[in-house]
Amino acid sequence: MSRSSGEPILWAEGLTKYYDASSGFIDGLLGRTKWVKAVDGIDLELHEGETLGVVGESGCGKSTLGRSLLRLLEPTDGSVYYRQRVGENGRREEVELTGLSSSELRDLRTDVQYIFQDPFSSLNPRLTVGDIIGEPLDIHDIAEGEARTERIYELLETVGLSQNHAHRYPHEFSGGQRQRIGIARALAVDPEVIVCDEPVSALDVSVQAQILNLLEDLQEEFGLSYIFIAHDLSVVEHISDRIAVMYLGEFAEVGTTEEVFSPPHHPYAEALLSAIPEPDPLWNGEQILLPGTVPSPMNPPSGCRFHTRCPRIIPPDGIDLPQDVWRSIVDLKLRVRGAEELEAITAVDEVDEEATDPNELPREAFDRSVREEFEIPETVSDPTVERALDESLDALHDAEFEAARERLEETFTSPCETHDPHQVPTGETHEIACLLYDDRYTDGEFRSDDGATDAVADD
Amino acid sequence: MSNEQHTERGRIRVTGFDPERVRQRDSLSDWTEESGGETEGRFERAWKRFKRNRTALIGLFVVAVLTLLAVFARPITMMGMTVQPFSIAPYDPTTIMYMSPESSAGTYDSPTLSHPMGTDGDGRDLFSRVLYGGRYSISIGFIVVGLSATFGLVYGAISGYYGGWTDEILMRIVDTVYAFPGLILALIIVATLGGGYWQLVAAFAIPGWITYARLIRGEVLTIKENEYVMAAKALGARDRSVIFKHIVPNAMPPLIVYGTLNIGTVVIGVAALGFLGLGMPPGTAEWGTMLDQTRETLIQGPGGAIPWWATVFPGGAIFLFVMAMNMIGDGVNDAFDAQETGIEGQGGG
Ligand code: SF4
Repeated sequence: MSRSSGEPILWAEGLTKYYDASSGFIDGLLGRTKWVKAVDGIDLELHEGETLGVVGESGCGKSTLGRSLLRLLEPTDGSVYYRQRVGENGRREEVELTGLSSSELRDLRTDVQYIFQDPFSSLNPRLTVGDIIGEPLDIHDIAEGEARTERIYELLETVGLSQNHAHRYPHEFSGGQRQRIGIARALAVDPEVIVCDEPVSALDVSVQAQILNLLEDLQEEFGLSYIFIAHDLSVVEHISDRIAVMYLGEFAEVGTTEEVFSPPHHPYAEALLSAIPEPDPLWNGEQILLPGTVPSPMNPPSGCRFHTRCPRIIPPDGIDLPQDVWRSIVDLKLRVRGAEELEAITAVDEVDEEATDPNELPREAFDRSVREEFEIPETVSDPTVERALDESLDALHDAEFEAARERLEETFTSPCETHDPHQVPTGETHEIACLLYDDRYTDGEFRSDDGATDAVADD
Repeated sequence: MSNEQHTERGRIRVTGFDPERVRQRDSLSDWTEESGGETEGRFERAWKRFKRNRTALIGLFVVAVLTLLAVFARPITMMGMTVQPFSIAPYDPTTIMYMSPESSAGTYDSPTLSHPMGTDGDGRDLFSRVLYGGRYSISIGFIVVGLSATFGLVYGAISGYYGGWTDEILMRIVDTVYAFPGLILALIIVATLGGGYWQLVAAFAIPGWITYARLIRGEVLTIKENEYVMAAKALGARDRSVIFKHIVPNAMPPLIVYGTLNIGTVVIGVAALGFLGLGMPPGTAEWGTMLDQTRETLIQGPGGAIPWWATVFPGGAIFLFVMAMNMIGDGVNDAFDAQETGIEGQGGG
């Protein structure tokens, strides 16, 4: 994917992690397994000395990605490779992390480490700081006795704490100091790659900067490579060399920090960027508000997973509407899709004095109520659209949901729903997974190059 | 500077957030070596709180006294060697008073100076028997709890930690045992194996461990979610060390609380079986068995008078011990609880 020079130190191909969400072992016996698709076919590369920021809303699978990369969670599918240093001359040899036995993996833990999000739950409250930092030394027989103590003191000083802290318990420290302890523990084995899982999001804003600085200093000092997970672009902006924007288990956009921060944007990345607060009172940039919440990864939307919320969702060929009206119509369609009763589509309270139940509204009032709810104008400019809309509202009014659904799907199916966007290169090292940038999709025509609209994101 | 609205970012910067500048910032925590104070572990702090709890201390005192009295009631010989030569109890608990020539005591004698608690239906000295009886009740209580807690701890920890099919199978076994009420199961076991000391231990340990297993499993399921468990795995720790270094020590407080209360329950259970005539062989100086033997005198004693001392003293001993055990249990519970909330206030930022 990325065309940056040199060989990566850690990379993943088609990394996939599904959770079993079936509700018990009877379900399991009957084969009624429900899968939560937390990470779905991710390719990524991390180069030596580089920081790759992974950004996404909570629930998008970024922590699962970090954990499956290091096999803290067993990946469902895909492979992770690591180029391990062999010998003294810096020569590296490729190992497949996903193919290692558990004891080989234990040995590799001295090369790849993890820093956890929550500084309160990531330190065992019953161990002293010295024992917490000493644990990796014991596990891998790195140091014993005097040397162990020396090493612990050295690590404490490296992360900006003092030797005397070694005999204290975690609860005596502030969040920022605890995170430093967690960093010291990760550093104890002298790793090459560290996955930082939202290491600052549980901390006060003022402490965040200190921890970020510490991580940057350590990177310089020890030549570390980071995968830095965050839910906020502003946090990774300064620390990352490259950024991957993640949505529902897939990468929406990958590129260097400058590329991600400047157009062209994936519509999701654009919305995230617009949400970064700006301290300038005269700043008048548009905040793109995404409607709704992240859909359930148990049943992710078809085609482009972002189409249920995307402000720039592509209209089907021949439909010519203002973008916001088109978006509203798609919202209506998505709502009708899951609806079994009219109350789920429009809640009626003051539309009509007498009727409080949408089932009893006259056709006229019902029409008005629905259009108001979804902010669709009284009459839509495009006559084809207006007719289709009218007919489906007719069907809805008669509580014929099936008919309404069919009518809506027939006219208003966006290519975004039916085609899975590939990672499209939009620059040297920049890729966006959006049909807007896809060459296969031009002028409302979709030329399927592989003759299928399957979900395989090849590259 | 123009007053125009604009959409360009980064025109104003808040320097506190600028990583280039923030290096000169002071330490944000006011924690220093001096203010930190003496470091103490979780159990030390709980013990400190426990010591301040008067009710619990009284309980501890009562249990200690009863235990000491039972130990020093009669000499203990092991493999022909006297390991404990003291003898507080004036008579052997099985000596029948009226059989010995120097005693004038008969059956159901009311308390006198030479027999402070009177004598029982067979003319044995009740005071000696009550003191000595503690040996059975108290030791069975501790042994049963020790055995069932240890087994339940390992069982529950494995079940909770591995989850999945292991958990499913292990917990179905627990459910099967759980389906029998504990005392009924104990009854059945004693009825099949016959009465006796180790039979009683088995009778209470076999249904007893499941509660510990369930308790620990529940704790482990919660503790397992803590990131420090994942962190230990990320460091390359083996399962065994993750379970016994990180999980089990954090699951101990509820186990200790339940175990303390459980000793009292077992002692009552042993007494109940004894009262039903199912525990120790008849005539043994065990509190419940002693009650059983004076059962008929509860309604009408010999000669129309009720020899209250024959029931009140053994019953009182059971009551005193169980009560004291519960006081300790509550104290332990409070000590751990208060300390739990104490931690919450720490940290931040
Ligand atoms: S493919 Fe369509 S729905 Fe997905 S991000 Fe691009 S425009 Fe939006």
